[in-house]
Amino acid sequence: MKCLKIENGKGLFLRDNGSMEQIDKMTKDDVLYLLNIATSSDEPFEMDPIGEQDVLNEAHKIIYRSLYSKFSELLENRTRFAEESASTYKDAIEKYQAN
Amino acid sequence: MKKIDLHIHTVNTQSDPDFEFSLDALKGYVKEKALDAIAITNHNLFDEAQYNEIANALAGITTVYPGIEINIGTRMGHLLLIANSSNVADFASRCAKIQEHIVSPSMSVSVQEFMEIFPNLGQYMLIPHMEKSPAVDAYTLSMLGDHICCGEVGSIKKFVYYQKDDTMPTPVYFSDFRPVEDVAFPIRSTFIDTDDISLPSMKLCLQDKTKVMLSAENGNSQFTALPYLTLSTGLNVVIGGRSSGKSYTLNRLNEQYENVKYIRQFQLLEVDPSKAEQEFSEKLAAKQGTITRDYFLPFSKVVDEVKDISVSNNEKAVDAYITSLIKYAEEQERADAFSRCAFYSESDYSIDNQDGITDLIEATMKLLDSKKYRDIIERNVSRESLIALLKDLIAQYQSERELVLKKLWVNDLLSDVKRGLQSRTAATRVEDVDFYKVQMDSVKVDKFNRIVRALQRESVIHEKEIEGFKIQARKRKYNGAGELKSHSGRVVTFSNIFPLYSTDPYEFLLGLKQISELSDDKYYEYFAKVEHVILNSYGCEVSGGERAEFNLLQEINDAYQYDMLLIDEPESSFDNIFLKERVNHIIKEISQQMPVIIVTHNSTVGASIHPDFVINTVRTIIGKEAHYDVFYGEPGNKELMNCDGKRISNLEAMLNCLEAGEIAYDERRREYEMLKN
Repeated sequence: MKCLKIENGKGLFLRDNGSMEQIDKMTKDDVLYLLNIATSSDEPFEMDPIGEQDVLNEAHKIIYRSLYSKFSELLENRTRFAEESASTYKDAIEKYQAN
Repeated sequence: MKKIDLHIHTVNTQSDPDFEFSLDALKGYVKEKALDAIAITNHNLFDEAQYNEIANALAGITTVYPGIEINIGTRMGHLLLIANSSNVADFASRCAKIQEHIVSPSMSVSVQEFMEIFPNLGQYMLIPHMEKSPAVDAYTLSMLGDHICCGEVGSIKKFVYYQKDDTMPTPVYFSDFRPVEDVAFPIRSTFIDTDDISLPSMKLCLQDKTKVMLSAENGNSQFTALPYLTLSTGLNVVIGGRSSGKSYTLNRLNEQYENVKYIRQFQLLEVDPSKAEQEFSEKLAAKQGTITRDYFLPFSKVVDEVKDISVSNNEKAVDAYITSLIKYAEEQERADAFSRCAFYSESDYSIDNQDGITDLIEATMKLLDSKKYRDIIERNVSRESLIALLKDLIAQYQSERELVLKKLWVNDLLSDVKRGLQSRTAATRVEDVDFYKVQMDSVKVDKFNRIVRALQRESVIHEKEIEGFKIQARKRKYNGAGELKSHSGRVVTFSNIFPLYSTDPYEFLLGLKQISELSDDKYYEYFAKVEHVILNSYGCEVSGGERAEFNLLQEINDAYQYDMLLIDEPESSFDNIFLKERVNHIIKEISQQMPVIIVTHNSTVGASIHPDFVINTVRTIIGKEAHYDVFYGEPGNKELMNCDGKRISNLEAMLNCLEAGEIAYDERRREYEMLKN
């Protein structure tokens, strides 16, 4: 699923209603929505790579670059949040499951 | 009856205090104390040549057994291992292996290693330290099992305790002596009821408690306390004229024995009443410290949290937020592409702490882990339900935790983007402010102020009855800066912040923070003054005399932690009614557990307490020289006897020492009878 897209020199992102919106309208809740997609294994998280000339709007460039780099890093280990939270109380669960 | 001492050191090892062994001293000791058997038990080694020399030198005087004292187990307890004298060479070769294992005092052998070196434990006598430091650990004892025939104890009190308790092994009491020239011989030994002093016979005898005693004639009710004095293991009263050696006897006992509680004459009498009152109050406060700490614990946690709140910084943050917001709104018309981005004025996610759910998880695990109350818990909630609850809670925690981690990640990204946008615009940045925190801080400060006002109200926070006295802990407001200063015990001034003490406790706390000499974990102590007072049975604060009475009762009660109690003339500081009604019964109770020795001139203490044993010290002046003698015996005996067998009349001794002689006693008795009629 395409989540970050570059079109006509502008950055776009996927909204929770399925539409693509300009990236300068993006809020923290939108980021959290994309993060949930990126960390779930249901669908692949896709984004357009960003080159020097691709995004012309400077504000869009700043936001897109930052999002692109953070999500790229995350996709290398997309299960990290789930793994970290599942590791808590692991011993307790094992102990009480046994008896 | 045979007298034995199976714990004697003759080699100066790294584990010993420095000493130079003297064979003559050992010979003298064995002869003087008439010991039937001894054992040479040096730390972690056996010197065969020296043993043979000693055994030859003492041949015909006593039986000398080869032995060793081994550091064993994790706690490095000491174990005496005593062998038969018929195969000394084999024993020496095994001990050499112990010596190879233990090359410093901080090393030990494990019980398995020990059993490999001495596989036939039945050939030996094993005596572990039990109520004597360093004691052998429970695991080692369980591994050695039936091979242990008795346990070495370090005091008369523990000997008697082991004798009375059927679950404990037979106790033995030995000297742990290091014979050197010109040393006073110890008096610790054990009597066993056997005619045969061979190792198998001694082992058999030691397994039967009724055959093991502290004294030859009187079983475990008496023991040789000093070379010239036998005492009861219970209550002893020492009587005698002035300068006849009563206090001297107590001093000798105090020197001779370890872990002795000694209440000296006039020790509890107040010399300077005002100083005594303060000292008394401080001592009481120290003893009651736990109560005060427990009472203030919740408040100290509040203080700990509130001390880090800065209301002024919060106000500044809100102010900066409003100012920047207004400015940002005013600039909206000329906003650029950067400042117009939604991210530019976006605030961070606030991160929830998960304390609530983690507390629930811990509590559920406690219910599951409880052994003591397991039955009650399972009667009401099945274990399956508890496990299901735990799983649900953990699943909820994990999902909340995942969200927290994601929000942190988003916040991180947000600040990265904001930094980029801010660097490119001249527009005003809306300052961040955490309204939740600001509001919570304000509520916390408000509650803190209310708690302090409640704390400053005068009230009794704890009350306890002890022996007819009532100990009260009271709280109240501090009266002034001087009282705060005296509580701090430091040269600091509180006068500049004291005006805030009642009006604004939070500001007062901030003032305390400015005094660098005060430790921050003690700030809570400066909000309410705690005083400890003792009230008598009428509910009034105690007088000097009553304070001394209370102190005596406390000192006597404290004796339970010791192995012997010595009291020198309690009547010099207290009246008879107090001694009879309040003190005597406690002393009687303590004497059930340890030897108690009281010196007295007073018939209330001396006779009314019904002692187990009476000791009469006598001074006789012959020419210009004073001769001292000590007679002793049971109170019902017609005569008391000294260590040489000399006898005196018991009645005469009692009347002379407690009643100023028979004539005075008869006169007084007649006068009382006249008054009565």
